[in-house]
Amino acid sequence: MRIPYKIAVVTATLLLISVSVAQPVLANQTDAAAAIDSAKDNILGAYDAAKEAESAGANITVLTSKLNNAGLLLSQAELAYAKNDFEGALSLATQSQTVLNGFASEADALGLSALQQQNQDFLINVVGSISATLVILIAGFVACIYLKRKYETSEAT
Amino acid sequence: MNLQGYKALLLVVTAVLALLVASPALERFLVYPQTEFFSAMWLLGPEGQAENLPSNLKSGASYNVYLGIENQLGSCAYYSVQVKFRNLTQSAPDPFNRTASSLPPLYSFTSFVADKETLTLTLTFSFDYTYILNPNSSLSKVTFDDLMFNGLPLNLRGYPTAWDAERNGFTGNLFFELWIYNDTTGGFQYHQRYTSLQLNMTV
Repeated sequence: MRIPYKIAVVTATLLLISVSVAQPVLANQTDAAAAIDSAKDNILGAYDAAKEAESAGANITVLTSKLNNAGLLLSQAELAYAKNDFEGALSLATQSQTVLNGFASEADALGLSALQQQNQDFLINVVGSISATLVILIAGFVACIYLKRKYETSEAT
Repeated sequence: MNLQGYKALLLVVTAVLALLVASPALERFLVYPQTEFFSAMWLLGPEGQAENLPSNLKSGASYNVYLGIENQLGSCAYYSVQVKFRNLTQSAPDPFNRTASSLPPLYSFTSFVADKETLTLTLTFSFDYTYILNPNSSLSKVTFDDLMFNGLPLNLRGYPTAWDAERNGFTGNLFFELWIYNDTTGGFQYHQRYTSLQLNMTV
């Protein structure tokens, strides 16, 4: 009876040690995986914001540059995770998210500014141009009538 | 000049002026819509030109190339470039069936390119490999240890390459597949573009 008891104590101790050692690793792994998922979602959200700004006519070079930096850090985080470097993965994924801080508001501002620019361009190029064309056509018409009347008056005299 | 002459002159002047003034507005309606949507990817040598691409490698030596990606899809694109390496017996991307290689990527990185823009990336790589020579050259082989890619060590163990009698060397392909994010499926799909480097591992 004493031998199984000893075995049970040793097994329990070993289990306790292994659980206490494995727990931080597991926690790190879970944190890293969560940070990577969060960084992916962040990038997708930022990508949508950049596309919206682009469709509003904005030049999004600044935005794509930030997205590329964030994407590169995320790729490195995934590589670190695959190599079981969970701390490195967590740090890189967090950095990736930091790069995109304030991205949505920047994209919104760029989109808004592009819309205003487009409205201004529309006013100048379309409304202004069509109005000026109408003025020229009316002026031509008026000049034509004026000429005709002047010609008729000079013929009558 | 009679009245008709003046009238004609006035008409021509008015028409020309009206056309000139209306041109900014007309420009908006007369621009042809984009009909071809595509992406392109290419590799350039260390001088940024399509020459001197690395081919004969030395173990541990570092090489530079430029990878270019062009987006003509009509909106900003979210690409993923998968870096893969194969020996001659392993799966390659198929340009006819437009399928990707079945090999897992050694590394993949994302790239965002705005519409009608080009992104150029500098890629630096070096291979660490060992020659295992046999008097019978067909039994000789090269075994790889690591591929250093832009400062990141990528594991190449399990990628031996045998003697290639046709090319008279130990050859392998470092290739880059272009994948694109699909909003509908919420994942990346092969974009049917790849570019590769044919590499000969020298002693």
